[in-house]
Amino acid sequence: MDFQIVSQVLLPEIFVLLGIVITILTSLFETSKKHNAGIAAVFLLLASLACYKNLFFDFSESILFNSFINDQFSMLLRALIYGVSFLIVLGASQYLKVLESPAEYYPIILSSTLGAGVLCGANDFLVFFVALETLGLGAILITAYARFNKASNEAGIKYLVTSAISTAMLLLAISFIYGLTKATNFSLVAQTMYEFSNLGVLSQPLLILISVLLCAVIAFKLAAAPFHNWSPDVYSGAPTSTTVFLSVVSKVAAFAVAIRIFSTVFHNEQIQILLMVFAVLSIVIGNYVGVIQMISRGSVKRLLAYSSIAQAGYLLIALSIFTPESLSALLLYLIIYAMMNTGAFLCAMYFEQITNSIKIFDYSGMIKKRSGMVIAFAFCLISLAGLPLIPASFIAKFFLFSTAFSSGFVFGKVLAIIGLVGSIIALFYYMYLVKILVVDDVSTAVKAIPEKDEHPSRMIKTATFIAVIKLVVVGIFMMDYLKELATDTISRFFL
Amino acid sequence: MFSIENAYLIAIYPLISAVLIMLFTHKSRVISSGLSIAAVALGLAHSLSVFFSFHGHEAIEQNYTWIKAGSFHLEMGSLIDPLAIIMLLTVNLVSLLVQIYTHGYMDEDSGYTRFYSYLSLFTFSMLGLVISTNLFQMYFFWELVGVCSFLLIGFWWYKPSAAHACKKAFVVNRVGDAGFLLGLILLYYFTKGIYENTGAVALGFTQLKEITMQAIATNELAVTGLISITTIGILIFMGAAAKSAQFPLHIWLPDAMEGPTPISALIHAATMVAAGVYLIARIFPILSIDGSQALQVVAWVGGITAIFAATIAFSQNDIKKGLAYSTCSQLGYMVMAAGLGAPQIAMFHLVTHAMFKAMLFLGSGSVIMGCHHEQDMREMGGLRKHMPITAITFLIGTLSISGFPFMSGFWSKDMIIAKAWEVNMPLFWIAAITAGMTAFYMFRIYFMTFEGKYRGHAHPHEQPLCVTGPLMILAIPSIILGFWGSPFTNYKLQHYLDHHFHSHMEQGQSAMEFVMHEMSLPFGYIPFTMFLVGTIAAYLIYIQQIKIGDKTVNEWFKSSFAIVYSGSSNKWWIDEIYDVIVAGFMFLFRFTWKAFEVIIIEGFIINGICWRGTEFVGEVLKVQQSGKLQNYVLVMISAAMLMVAWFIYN
Repeated sequence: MDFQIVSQVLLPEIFVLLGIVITILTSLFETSKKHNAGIAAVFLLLASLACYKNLFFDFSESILFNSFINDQFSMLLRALIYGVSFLIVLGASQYLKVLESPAEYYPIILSSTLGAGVLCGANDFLVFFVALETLGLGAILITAYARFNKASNEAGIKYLVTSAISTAMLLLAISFIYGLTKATNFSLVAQTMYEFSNLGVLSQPLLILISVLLCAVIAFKLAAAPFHNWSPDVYSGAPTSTTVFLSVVSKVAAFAVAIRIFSTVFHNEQIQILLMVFAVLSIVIGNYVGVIQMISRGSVKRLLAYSSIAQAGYLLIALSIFTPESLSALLLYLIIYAMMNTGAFLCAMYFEQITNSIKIFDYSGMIKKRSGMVIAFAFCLISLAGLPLIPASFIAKFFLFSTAFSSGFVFGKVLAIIGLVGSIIALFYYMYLVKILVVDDVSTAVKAIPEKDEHPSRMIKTATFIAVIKLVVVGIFMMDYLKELATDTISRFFL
Repeated sequence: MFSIENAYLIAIYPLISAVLIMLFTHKSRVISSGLSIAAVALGLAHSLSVFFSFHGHEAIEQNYTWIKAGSFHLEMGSLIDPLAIIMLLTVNLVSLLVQIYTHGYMDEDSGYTRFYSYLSLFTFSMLGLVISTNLFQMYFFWELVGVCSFLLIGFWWYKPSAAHACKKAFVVNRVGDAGFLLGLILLYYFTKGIYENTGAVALGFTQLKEITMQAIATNELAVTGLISITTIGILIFMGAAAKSAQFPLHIWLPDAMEGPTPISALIHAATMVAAGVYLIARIFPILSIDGSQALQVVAWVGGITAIFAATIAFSQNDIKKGLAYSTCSQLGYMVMAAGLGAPQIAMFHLVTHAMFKAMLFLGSGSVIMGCHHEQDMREMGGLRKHMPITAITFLIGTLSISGFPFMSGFWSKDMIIAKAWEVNMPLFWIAAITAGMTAFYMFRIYFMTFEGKYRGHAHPHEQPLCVTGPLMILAIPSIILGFWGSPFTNYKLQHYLDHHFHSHMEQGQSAMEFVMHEMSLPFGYIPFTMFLVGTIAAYLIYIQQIKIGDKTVNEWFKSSFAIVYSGSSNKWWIDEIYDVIVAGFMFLFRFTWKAFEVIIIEGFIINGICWRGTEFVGEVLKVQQSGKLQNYVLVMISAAMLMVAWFIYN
């Protein structure tokens, strides 16, 4: 094994690992604890840049007995994951719930990020399992991170228990696969299954069981209905920096592994049906309950949780269609989604910080006090709604639905129509939220906000600004390029 | 720097100044007006340089992608050909002089810098329209000049009359623009295959005719019929008719005189209203396709407008309203000329008209200022002694528009009448009679304002140089510009424009021969005779005040032809007719609105399905989010088991 190649392939992960080690060490010393956020941010940025470098030189390689694969797909999504994590760490560095005991948050979020990154390149069921657990366990820890906050603790427990069940299902699936093929490597499993099905000895009931279990695990990670119940509670209870992480990084990683398994290992009709059911349920539940959440004046984070359930539903449409075109549309939308959702949650984090509340109506008339952040928030919400203000999300969503529509399947058209109707319903709560912030009278909570922030918040604003600027730049100048990149990346699965 | 290749900069200069004034310099009067005037002066210099460096007749075209989606593409760019160059010069020159004049006219107004920013914005839009390479770009700027016109008519928005006038102008123009857009889309629809396959500029002017002919040759597009090149031409002409105030969409123009006078001169006399004529000239290649009836419609609408507006101008007492109807009538001439198959003559009249009508409006503005914002001509009179420069320039303008021999207006109008003589006899008589009427009402305005005794109560006085200067400058082209298109220069202007229209006027006739030839035909005498008749009638009635019986002619006319007089002074009740028609439609619409919108859409769909339905579904679905961990676990496990069971069972 060529050590040089391994180190080059895993360079981003080595950076993240270095970040973990150093932040653990510095958190032992009272004097250097406060630098943890900075260190984590720097290493994540380096990791992201390393991915871009590999992507730029088209450096594809599979290493460690073919258990980790460094193709264009994994490089692109790893770059996205590390980039988003960088923004999250930037925002978390000035977020009060984290600042109560700032030291350990960063090694944990870094290790979760590492898990998510490795998941994108996993080419073996064991690597897949370990990476998923690294991601999940870390996420549970940072969910319950606000120790003296009841909601955070409750969220942690809920996430832990439901994660345990999903892990059990995953292990069950992997053991069935191993029992069936005597292999854990993706390509070996695929080859064996192919041979068996040619010989006619592939056990169909077992395959169905495996499909259902795998889909369930992926749906759980995506917070897609009917495995979504944990997400509103966990999203609203967890510190908001963790919520961003769960709703973006975790989902991107889950989609990465889903695309890889379904396109390289095995794919069948049952998976397609399951994903379609998940997509429809997610769109319906996410949007309808989101509307109720809006009407009943609930919490912003809960609302955004339902919004991300619905967004996962849109993405699942493309995954269930499973043509090269739909998958590249999925990839494109995933990239845009990561940016706009990060921006929206970072804004919510900022508002929570200054009003000390997550109730929607405590934010009414916010534009009078913090116009810049309200505009950024409105911008992200309008993007999530898919309106062509800056065309990024509009174009991405258009491709998503149009590929479903023109896929040639009848159910593709039905799904696209359901997705469109869902988008219209979602428009209500996105725009209503904007209306409350911009048009409505100033609430008492907003009146109490001082002219200048009590706590430093420049980093949160910077992170939001970067997310919004990325969205604008991508939307105006780079959609063609990104679409080509996505098509090219996906086409390599279908050679 | 001032090369043809970057001629698009001519339109960019005023855009820059408009943006700068709006964003940064609106606090400073000097910088704002300076910027705006400098921008248009730069534009004029650039246009002149383009004019002198443009040799040969090949159009110079540059296109940039505007919208691209799949094989659908729209372009924006600049098309520099003789037609565009003539318009560039006219627009820049009039805009420059009007902007200088504005400094004097708007000096005491609190919206001085806002006015300059609008002027710059308008100049940009108009120049963008002029250099358009295709109909889509033209439509874009067409709407922009419409918006600028709206803003400027309603410049004194706090006056209810101005607010109504700008709304009216906008709404009437929407009617025309709807036709324009419809025609545009239809034309594109029938030719889109060709544009998408060849990658040619969508609806580009240079290839408009060839590509349309291809569509006709392949039987995709009919020549006559309900949807055909004829109706497409008429639909696009609707846009031109609204913008150029053609009957029956002329009603907005007189009301638009509520705007400040420099606007009346720039937008509602010289440039924007002429955009309709320019559009007709641009799409002339498809209007004149063999078998198309569109040109007939154009010619008749123009002819009817010319005489119709002239009858109304007889009885207007507001100086600006009188000039407005005169503009309307002259635009009718231009449209008629284009409809008769001579767009180069229409363009010729457009240019000369721009000069003398801008001067007349600026002169009327000077009079209004001199009389302390009095616009009623019955309160004027004898102003020649008080305002000599204004009076002389106004007289030059009046002579020019009335067709006094060898003035600018004489040549251009004579050409139109001569063309009508060749092509269409009824229209010839309409044009000839209108020429006499023009002389009458223009001299009526001149006599009532400048001659006789002063009847008002103010103390009229001459205006400063920044007001009289532009008047004097405009007087020069009003006198001599016509020679450019006259037999004395062998129709240089028309030949300059010829290439665009692929028609060729006979050459080689010397000026003397032409005059001899014209004198041997009746139409050679008729325009001049008409001028004499009109002028003398006006002189007798308004200066000599001859009497019929014991009444003055006016009173006699009012009592003997009461219907005609009240028709003219009430603008032939066109506004009232519109009211009745619109009220009828409103009744119909109100009914369908009640039945369809309120009950079905709002009551059933919006409040029923959308509101209550969504709420209901949401409330039902909310139940699954109980907050209890054991329920969540139950849902997860049972969902997985249910799915396995279902697949196995199937």
